[in-house]
Amino acid sequence: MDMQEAGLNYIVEVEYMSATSCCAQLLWIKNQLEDDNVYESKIPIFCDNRAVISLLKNPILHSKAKHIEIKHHFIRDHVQNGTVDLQFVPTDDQLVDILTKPLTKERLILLRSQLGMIFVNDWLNFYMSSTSASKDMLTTGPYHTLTTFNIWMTYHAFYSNT
Amino acid sequence: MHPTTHLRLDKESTKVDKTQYRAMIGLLLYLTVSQPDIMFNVCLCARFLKEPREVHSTVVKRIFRYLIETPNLGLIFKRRESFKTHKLLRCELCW
Repeated sequence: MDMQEAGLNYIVEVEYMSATSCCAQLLWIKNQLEDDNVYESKIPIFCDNRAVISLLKNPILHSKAKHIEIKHHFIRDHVQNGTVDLQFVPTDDQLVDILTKPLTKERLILLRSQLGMIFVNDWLNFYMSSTSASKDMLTTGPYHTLTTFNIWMTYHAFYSNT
Repeated sequence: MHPTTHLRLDKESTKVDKTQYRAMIGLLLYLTVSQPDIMFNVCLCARFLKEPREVHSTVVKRIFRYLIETPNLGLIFKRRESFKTHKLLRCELCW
């Protein structure tokens, strides 16, 4: 085995392990939601490594994947019975990069908007034009701090439509 | 932080006030609840709490400068049509 192959094997193992731990987290959230009568199946997991996806979707013991410990293989069951759905996502669209990598300005702005972070002004313009909420909410309330504003936004995003 | 920047333990750089550095990091960590975009940078700087130097505090100050530039950036939670448990979710998301 040359150096490059060893490195590749290592990357696949790491991605495999992270997919497994992600699956464990998902199952926990799924359990929590089932208490509230929300039943989800085919929960998508976005993985940027095609080798891992092929390994997981094809339940055969590959001789090249022997080094992966058995405890990491439990995600296979969940892929097989359809609890989770592995999907390929190109590295450029990998949303979690914002939490794990230092980014350039352009990329930070892109990923930040995909996370659901927007400027309050933009949102308010959109919101005010679509509903009849008064602008006094903005000028008279105690919205000096960012956190307060976030709570206010959350409150309205949820209560306005009902 | 730019992708080419490497932040590591630096013994040569001048020391900064540990208490102040910790206060700044504590403040930023609290803010990451509502600002996930600074999560990575803050957590990286938090690794140098034991031995903060000039290079680390420069990065922390840069985060503050970013926050000053984007004061009205916030998370938005959109309502999903298929959920039937709005009442329950509301309680959780409104803190």
